Amino acid sequence: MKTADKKNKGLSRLRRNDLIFYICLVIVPSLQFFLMYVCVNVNAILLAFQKIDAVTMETTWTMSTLKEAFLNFKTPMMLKRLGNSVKMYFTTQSISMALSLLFSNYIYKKYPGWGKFRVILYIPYIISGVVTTTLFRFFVDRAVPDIMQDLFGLEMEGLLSGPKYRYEAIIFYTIWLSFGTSVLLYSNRMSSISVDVVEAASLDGASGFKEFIYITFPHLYNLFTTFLVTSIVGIFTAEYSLFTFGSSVATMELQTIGYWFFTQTYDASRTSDTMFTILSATGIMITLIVAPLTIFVKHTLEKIGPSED
Amino acid sequence: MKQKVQQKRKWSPIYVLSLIVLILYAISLLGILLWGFWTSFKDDQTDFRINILGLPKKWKFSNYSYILENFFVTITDRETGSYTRIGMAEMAWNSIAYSVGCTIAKAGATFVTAYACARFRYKYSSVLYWIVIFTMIIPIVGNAAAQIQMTRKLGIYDNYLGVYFMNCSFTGMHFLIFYGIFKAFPTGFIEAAKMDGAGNWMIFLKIVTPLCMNTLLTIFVIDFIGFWSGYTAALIYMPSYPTIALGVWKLSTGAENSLSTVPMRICGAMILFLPTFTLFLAMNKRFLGSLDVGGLKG
Repeated sequence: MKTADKKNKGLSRLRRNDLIFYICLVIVPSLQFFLMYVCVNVNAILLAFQKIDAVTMETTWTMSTLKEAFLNFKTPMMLKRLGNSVKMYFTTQSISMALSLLFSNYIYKKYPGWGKFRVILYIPYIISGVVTTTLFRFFVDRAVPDIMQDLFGLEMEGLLSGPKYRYEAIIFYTIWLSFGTSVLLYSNRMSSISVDVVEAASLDGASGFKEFIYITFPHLYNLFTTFLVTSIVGIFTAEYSLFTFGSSVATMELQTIGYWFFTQTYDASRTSDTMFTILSATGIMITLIVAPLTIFVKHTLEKIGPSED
Repeated sequence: MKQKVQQKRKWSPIYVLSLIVLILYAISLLGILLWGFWTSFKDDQTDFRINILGLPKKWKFSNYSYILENFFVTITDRETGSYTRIGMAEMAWNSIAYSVGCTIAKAGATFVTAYACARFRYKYSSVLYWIVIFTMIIPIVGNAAAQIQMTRKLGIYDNYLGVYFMNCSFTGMHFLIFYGIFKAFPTGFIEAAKMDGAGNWMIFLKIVTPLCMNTLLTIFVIDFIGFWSGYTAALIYMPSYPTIALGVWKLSTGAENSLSTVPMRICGAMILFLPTFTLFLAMNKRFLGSLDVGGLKG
């Protein structure tokens, strides 16, 4: 009886120690999540139903903020931004995903130079966006017209300083720097494909393309859908480095919803809180669109996708 | 066996196309970086304007010291309206304090939370795991304004401790990487340590952490480079403590007088670029190691 009591006390002490240790590990991250995610999003919802007077800074509860945000979204300028956002998202995503898979397959197959190409493809990921935009902007605005003049005798304005090629330059820039993590993760996942399966396919006469479609792609389909699903929010948040390039590049022809959000938030943070209400209301409206869209795309991809079997 | 596999490799059109595109990509990327590097040593009037592409006629190393001595960022106090000039030395200190602190906070929070969830089967562990999945799948748009207001109310806006706390987040893909590692961790080590009388802290610090040091360091370096290179978070949440990245952005888009020339602006970019590029070259095998993550299920 005494031995059993001692054993029970010992187990209880161990469990208590485990619990104390567990709480020590998770308490700060949990508090951070509660404040910076839960409370922030509750605050965003509350702000959407408030109006802050610009002069007195008094807060009143009202539905007019949501109505104002909705009407603002229907203005020609915002619709233009929305159109730009959708167009640029589909263009950049489709091209960069296709190229990522192409490059990953090359690296996985260890074709000549694969090691060096893997390092080079990762370089943009470690370079600051400020550095790449600075170099890119001055190269395409100064060096490219110089090259065209010397080689072909063509007089042209800079690709970003002039309006003619600005859109294409931004699309190229976005795709040019998009490969780092995706190529690394795709090629790492591809390297876990069983060599026996690949050999068997080769013996059966499968071409490289068929091997990719029936063996490689199903193996990394999970990862592919993860990238695709998490990228959908980018329709409304991506600003394609327009803020970093500067206002001379971020003309109305290129502005996206993400750019508008960022610049408005930045301006509001430096001046007063009155714009916070409209921004929160607009954010909620967009979240109510993009969240179900993301879930829908995720479930659709899971249903229609290939299986490894 | 390896030779047989290599002999079987066929150069189909798709691989030829891949090689051509990769070569063009490598030329474009390395070409622009090299062009930027030697342009940073040019004099604007006597060299750059007449020789945009070529190597410098005379290497002007003083461009770098000129930027370090003469470039300032002006910050305005939101409440008093007073101005303060911050030089490159102070920006460098801000960058180090910001990057190192935020990296420790973020990588550390992710590491310990993933360990707690994988090791202890409390119901709260499942809650934390599903929070990570939920936040990755369900996007929230446009809550930055609410976050700024919240950080001001909590008193964590525009100070180091505040921004470190803001980055003590366990959500994101790195959680799944650590979680996968801890789930696959051989429990034999832990059981043997327990039998020898080791407590939870001893097991965590002396057994688990050293065995995961490789991945932890990789994540640490990735996060550090992200914080060092980014400027938008510092711009919005720490406006009184401009970092080098923020300074270089201001130099690139809005500098005046002798600092507004192309070689000077590129020189500023190089000051930001060279440390992280050097770190990458020294540790690229660590970056390109076997980081893997599963898909989102649920």
